[in-house]
Amino acid sequence: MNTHFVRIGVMITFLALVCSLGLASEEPQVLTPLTDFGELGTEDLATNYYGLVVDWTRRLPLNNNLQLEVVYLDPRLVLASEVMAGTVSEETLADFVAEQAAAYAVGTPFIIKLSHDSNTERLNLADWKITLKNDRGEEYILTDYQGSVPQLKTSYSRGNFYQVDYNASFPTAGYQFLDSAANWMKLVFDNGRNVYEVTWDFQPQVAVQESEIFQTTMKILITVLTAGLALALLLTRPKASILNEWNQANK
Amino acid sequence: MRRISAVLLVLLLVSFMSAAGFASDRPLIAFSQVAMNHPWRIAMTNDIVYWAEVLGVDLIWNEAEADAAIQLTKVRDLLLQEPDALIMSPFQATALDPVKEMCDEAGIPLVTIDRSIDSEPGTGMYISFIGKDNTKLARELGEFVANYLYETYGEYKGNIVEIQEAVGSSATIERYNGFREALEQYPDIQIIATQSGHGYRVEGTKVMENYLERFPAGTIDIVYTHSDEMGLGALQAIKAAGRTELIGRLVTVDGQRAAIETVVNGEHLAVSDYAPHFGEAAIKAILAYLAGEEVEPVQMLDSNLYHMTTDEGANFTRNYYNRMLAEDLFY
Repeated sequence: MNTHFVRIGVMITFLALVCSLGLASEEPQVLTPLTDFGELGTEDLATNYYGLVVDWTRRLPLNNNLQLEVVYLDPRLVLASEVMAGTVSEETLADFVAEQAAAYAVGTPFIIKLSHDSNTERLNLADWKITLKNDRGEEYILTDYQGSVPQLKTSYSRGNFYQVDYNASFPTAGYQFLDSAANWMKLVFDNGRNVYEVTWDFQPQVAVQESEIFQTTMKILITVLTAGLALALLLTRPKASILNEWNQANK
Repeated sequence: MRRISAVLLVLLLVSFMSAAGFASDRPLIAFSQVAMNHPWRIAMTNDIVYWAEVLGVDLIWNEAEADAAIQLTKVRDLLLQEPDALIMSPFQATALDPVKEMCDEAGIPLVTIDRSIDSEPGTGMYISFIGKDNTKLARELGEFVANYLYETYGEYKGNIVEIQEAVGSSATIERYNGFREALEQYPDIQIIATQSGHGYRVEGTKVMENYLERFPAGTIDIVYTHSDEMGLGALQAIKAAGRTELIGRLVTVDGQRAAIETVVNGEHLAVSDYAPHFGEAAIKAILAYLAGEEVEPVQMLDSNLYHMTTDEGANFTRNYYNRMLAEDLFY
């Protein structure tokens, strides 16, 4: 009787494990820069602009209540902003793509926002040496930027504050800085006393895959061990005749 | 003696010139807030402070601890400082109506925002009421709920429980009436219970707990709350009670980020926008009045409905939510 329950239990566990192996895990959110301009198509005209802003924005508090916000202008984000402004449509998309391909071949664009609760004097980008880096060891120093006048802004977590937006472009020696092999890029902000980094990581998928390999291995191991245990139980179960003999001997 | 008089005269002249030089050319606007114990109210005040700075006016303000009598006293304090105009978000329409007379006597223009008072805007010094059409948005929300129930059950039927805003406020009355106006043509859609949650999250939780005890699973189809805070409170109660059939069946009014997020992730069915962004319209109306221009006695600001039940609605809602994240907006 007990063996029967064990057998059913093991079968259920085995089935559950096999089923769990087959379940597809959720698609991980991967930050992928557009590096091949041929991929830009009409479907990108409908991309959610603010969703891309959220994806490509990095925020960092600097010293003395200075706040930094950097947006990498991924080509899809630039396209979405042009679509919102009504300057690019299906008819003009091909021209836009060609222009962008040429522009990204010579420069990598960002919007850098410096903000402070009250002191607009501190919103000067010239106080910082800013370096663009990638995982291949390439480095470029920012020299080309244009800033707005300080503007009063308001937000939920900060209340009112002043902000200057800088359009910045790193001149990249005649080739596209990001390609499909890029694992990460970062901007390094150095004012001579403090150094800060903001990073865009393009390889979380690797980590997820590694994690899935570990999970799969563990599941297979558990399944094999459970099946082995069940088999061992079945093979080593005492035969009824032996039990009867044992019972009679003990009487 | 003559020398002393000359020195005194010079000092007098200098002090007079200094005072004249330091006197601000910026208009002084006073703002009377109901209370600062609610995110919606805090966001409203922040918005007015922001637009005062942007539009170049000086601002003084105080809050009334959610009490009409205190608000009357606090308004009197503000008027004693002789502002060029008063913005008031009144706690209650009737109780705060004497403010109109106070402004008439003092010759100070009055603008009410969000809620009105009993007096007619555009009479005396009561120059304008700026709000959002609560009746209209509640009616639209009611129509949306009716259509949703039709899509779900194939007929216009269902039971709704309601959690009201502060008792007696114009917003409560209008959100109550507008919702019913939309549903009166569907006799099988019933509002089976209604109770005040006073606008607060914790009260919303309590009222919902009570409803969940009274109405077993399968007897409530929609939960309608007059504000997001109460909606979020009701959601807590629903989750705590394990009443998963009501997840995605809440509709609320206001449009705060946390509520929009629940729409995006499917926990709320819809949120009607009543963001507290009245600062720009109110201060611009006052500046126009001070410049001798005509001001609309009643100004109704636009509002939106956020939901995920259609592709268009989902895109609109997701985009708005992302904008809130990108710009760190609460409303």
